Amino acid sequence: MTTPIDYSKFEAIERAVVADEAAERAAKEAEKQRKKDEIAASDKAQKAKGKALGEGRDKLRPPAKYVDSDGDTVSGPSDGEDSDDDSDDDGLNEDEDLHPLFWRRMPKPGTKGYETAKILEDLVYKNDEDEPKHPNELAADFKEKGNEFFQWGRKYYKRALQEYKEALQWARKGDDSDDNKKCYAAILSNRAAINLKLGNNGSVVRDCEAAIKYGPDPLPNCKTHFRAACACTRLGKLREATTFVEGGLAIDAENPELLKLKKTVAAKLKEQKRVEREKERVVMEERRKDEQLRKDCLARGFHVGPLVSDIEVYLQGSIGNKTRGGFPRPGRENQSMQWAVMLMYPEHMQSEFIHAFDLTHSFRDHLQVMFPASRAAMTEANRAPWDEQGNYTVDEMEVYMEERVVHSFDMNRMWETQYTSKPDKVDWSKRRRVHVPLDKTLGDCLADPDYVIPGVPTFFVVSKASSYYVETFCPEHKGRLRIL
Amino acid sequence: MDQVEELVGFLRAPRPDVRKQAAETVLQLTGTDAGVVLLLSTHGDDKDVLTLLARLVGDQEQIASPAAAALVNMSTNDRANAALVEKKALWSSLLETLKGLQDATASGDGMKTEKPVPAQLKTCVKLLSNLTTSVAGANRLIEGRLGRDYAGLDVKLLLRAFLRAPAEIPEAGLVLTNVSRLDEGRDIFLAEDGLASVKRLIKLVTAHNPVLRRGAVLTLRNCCFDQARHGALLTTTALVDTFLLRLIGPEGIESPEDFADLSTALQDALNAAREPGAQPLRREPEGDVRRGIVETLVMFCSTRQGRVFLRDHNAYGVVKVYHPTESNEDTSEVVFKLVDMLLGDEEDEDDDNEVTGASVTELEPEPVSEPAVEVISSSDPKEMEEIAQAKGDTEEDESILLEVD
Repeated sequence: MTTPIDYSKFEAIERAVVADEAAERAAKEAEKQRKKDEIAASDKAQKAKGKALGEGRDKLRPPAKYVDSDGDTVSGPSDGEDSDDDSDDDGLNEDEDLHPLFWRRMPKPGTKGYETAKILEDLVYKNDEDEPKHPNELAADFKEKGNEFFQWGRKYYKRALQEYKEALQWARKGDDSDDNKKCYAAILSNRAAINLKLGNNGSVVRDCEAAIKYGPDPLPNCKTHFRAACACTRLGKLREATTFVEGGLAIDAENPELLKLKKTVAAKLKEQKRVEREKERVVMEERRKDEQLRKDCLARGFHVGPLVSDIEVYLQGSIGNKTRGGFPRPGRENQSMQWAVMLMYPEHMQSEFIHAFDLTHSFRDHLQVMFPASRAAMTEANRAPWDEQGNYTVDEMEVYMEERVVHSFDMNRMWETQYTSKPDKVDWSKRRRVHVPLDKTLGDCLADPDYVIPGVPTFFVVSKASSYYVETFCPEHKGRLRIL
Repeated sequence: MDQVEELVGFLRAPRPDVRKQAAETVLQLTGTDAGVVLLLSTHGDDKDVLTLLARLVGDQEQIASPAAAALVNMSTNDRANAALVEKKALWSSLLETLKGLQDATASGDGMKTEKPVPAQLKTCVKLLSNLTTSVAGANRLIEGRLGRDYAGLDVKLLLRAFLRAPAEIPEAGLVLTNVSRLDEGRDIFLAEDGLASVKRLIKLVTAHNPVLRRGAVLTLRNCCFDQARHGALLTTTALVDTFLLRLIGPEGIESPEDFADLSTALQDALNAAREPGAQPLRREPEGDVRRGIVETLVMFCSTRQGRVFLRDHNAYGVVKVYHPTESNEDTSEVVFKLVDMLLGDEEDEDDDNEVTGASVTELEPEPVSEPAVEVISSSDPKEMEEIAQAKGDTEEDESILLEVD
């Protein structure tokens, strides 16, 4: 093709079309509104007829006519036709003179449209001597295009990004010259600018880092660093932001925006550190309390170990003031401690918490409050709800604790370092039961040299009167029982 | 009883070989506490064992040596110690002998030397370290041979000798520790230009010999009592970095935020330790020394400058990890105190920053001038909303971002 091409005409068309699009949209909106009214009216009518709503909506279609710069009505891609229909189409539908702007797909070779497409392509990719342009030049060209779109405002950012994307591809194919590097860095920096406005802070940081890395050293201005610093600030990464601010100031030490940002970042960082310190104070307070507990236990000769994993389920919720290992901290009063104690009733698979079991209290003290003293004293009211057979009376109950269920912590070191997420590997066959006479106190149990408190002291309560005792419970610990 | 008195009497025998024998026997006796008590119970002015031994310190080397060693043992007894400190004659001969340290440790250019120091001198240094444990003793040493006008000269002498050959006379570090408890003693180190001696002491914090480490750390700790000098100590020496490094164990500092806040020197050290084949970091094994380190940090917290410095260098990050590994209860308590101070807020902190984050958001964004085209499209109310929203959160970047390159 040797026909000289009139560039100006195309440019003029492009610009005018933008104005047309606006008019178009207005027309569309009017159309939409009309259709809506139509539907509303038809729905009303159909409702009156008793039909289901929504049938009328099928008739909504994108408007089929466009108005071009000359004011002519040009028929669009489909006038009653389904736009997804791809069959026997040479790319231009009926109208071979359709403006390239309205093409929906690239024309196939052999058609008139294909020639036009090639001409348009050459416009972009070939220079005045009809040779392919150098990648550097193409990169710069697309960059300029992207810049233009950026100037047009927010609605064109997406287009700008597309241009920048192609620009980057060409820049990468270009050479290692300073100019190309500068261009590459500028493209990345501009893309970052757009992303910053769009709120894609992560992309901004990535692009700026790449620009700094691959661009000329030093960069021509501090915009890249500034943009990266803004993005980091928004992401809350204040330390990185400081680094970028410093980098920017190294290029342009007097820049007022940058200095302002520096102050902002410093203030925010200070605040963030203040919040962190606040959190650490809480951590330290907990540590102090744990240490106090450890020393108390050490002084009394208690051995403490980690929670047995199944117990954790019971501990979630109400009992506050837990240690870092998750078990409740005993209260302290009158030189004594009040532990949270778990009572298990293995016969009926029930369990119960005693929230404040003082070391000086005996088991009888507590059980007397919870259970009837004897069968004679049993009533509906004082009997345990799960105790259908009425076996659980204080005079028939027995209390046991289990030994060698967990390994003890090193009582001379902070427990904090000894909690692990892995369950304690204990040889369960070595477990022993210890029978606790009811008049023994909690203190007696915990101080026993062989007993390791598994986080929460746990005791098993059975009744001599039930068959469970004879048939299951006692045989379990045959030969491995001792008395406290 | 008589035998002992006789023995003590022989200490001033006219014949040197007798004196020597007596001195050696007395030395053997002082090997046990009971022996020391026994010797001290001999009374009478001219038969006072301490005076006699003291005199012998100035005697020929063969006699002076066991005599000095005997005194070292005896000075562990409080009563004897107090008495010895009072003896001017002893101080004279001691300091006179110590002059020899200068030559013993000097090499031609005054730098570190590897010559072995004679045993006699070592013993004298040990004796000094015992004698200076009391305030009176320390004062005596500072006074020195030449009296008040030339105070500190002997200490300086000892200090220089020590820094030249620390491995030979580790007890000199303890002498320095004792001396630095007093204001005057501290001044001897701190008044130097550029804190040269302090810097060399800091290098000894990582020495092999625990006695050396102890001497160095405790001396530096005492120096930090001087609040006026905190600024110089913090900013011109590697004191804080070295001390913090001693608290870091093989696990290093795991959290990246904590790591980022450390000083560059510490970061480098931590990174170097992670290299394959590098020695992993080891915490200071001696409890006393660790305690000294923690106490020094606490002392820095007594001034605002110190607190700010420690917070900026994330001392808390290091201490937090070290704390659970501390097995000594008392030291652990001190650490809790340190942590309280590091984590505390300064009372007047919010006043000094006039430009907070809030005022930046009040900045008026510069109007974005866009071609006429934009205006048309923004007549749609929905678009206006979008644009307004966008403008709202790009307060900082309007003006700079207007131009793209």
